[in-house]
Amino acid sequence: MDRPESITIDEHGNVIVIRLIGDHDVSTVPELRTKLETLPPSTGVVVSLAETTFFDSSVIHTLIGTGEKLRERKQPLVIHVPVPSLGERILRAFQPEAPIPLTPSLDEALALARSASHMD
Amino acid sequence: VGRLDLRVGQVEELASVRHALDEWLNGQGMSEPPRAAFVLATHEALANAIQHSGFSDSVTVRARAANEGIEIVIRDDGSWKTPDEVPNDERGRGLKLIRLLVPDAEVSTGVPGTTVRLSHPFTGERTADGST
Repeated sequence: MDRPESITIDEHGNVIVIRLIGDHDVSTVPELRTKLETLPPSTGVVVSLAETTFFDSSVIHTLIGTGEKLRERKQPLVIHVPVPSLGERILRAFQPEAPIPLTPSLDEALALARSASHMD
Repeated sequence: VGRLDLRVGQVEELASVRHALDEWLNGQGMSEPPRAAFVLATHEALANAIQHSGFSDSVTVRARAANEGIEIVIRDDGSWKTPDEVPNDERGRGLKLIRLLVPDAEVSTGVPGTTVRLSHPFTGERTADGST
């Protein structure tokens, strides 16, 4: 839990990948929220927690809210998270009514983000 | 070695408190898991207290290690809002997360303030390096 926090945004074809690196909590979530609210147009969005050393309920709250907004715009949100892990466990416990797909594979996350957009 | 006392007043201080607690718990022989769960539960209690209690000075974390286990007590002198008083369910998630991570967590509200008590019993014999 000693890596400086940062957020990177990359485009993989028509899918945006947001990587949360290091610790992310209530003190850093405003930056995350701003980045999520100003994403460029895309087919889908992947949030990668593979390099996240810590995240709290404020991050979960933000991801769920973002998932709902993206869903309204027919842009699926997929979360890339190591399995098994504490992060995966708590994300599963807080899944919204329309669950956000969780996967330990970035390739699978990208595929889900692309395919899910064609299912609506 | 067997105790840790910290104070926090701003959310920007939470990361350093987490790291200090994680290091202390590791030194007390709490393995992984459940160490990360206890660090996260403590963080959630602190974040709730800082954001929602209206504390007057600071929020305290007191951790103690004994032969029977580890106890972490988070205390403020304010008053947490109940989930129904919060316009969104963000804080409700914090409390739910504490219960998920530490099912035996005790949350007591009184005068003054709210106390969250997290306990972890050592069920096995601890080794020379403190592990169980």
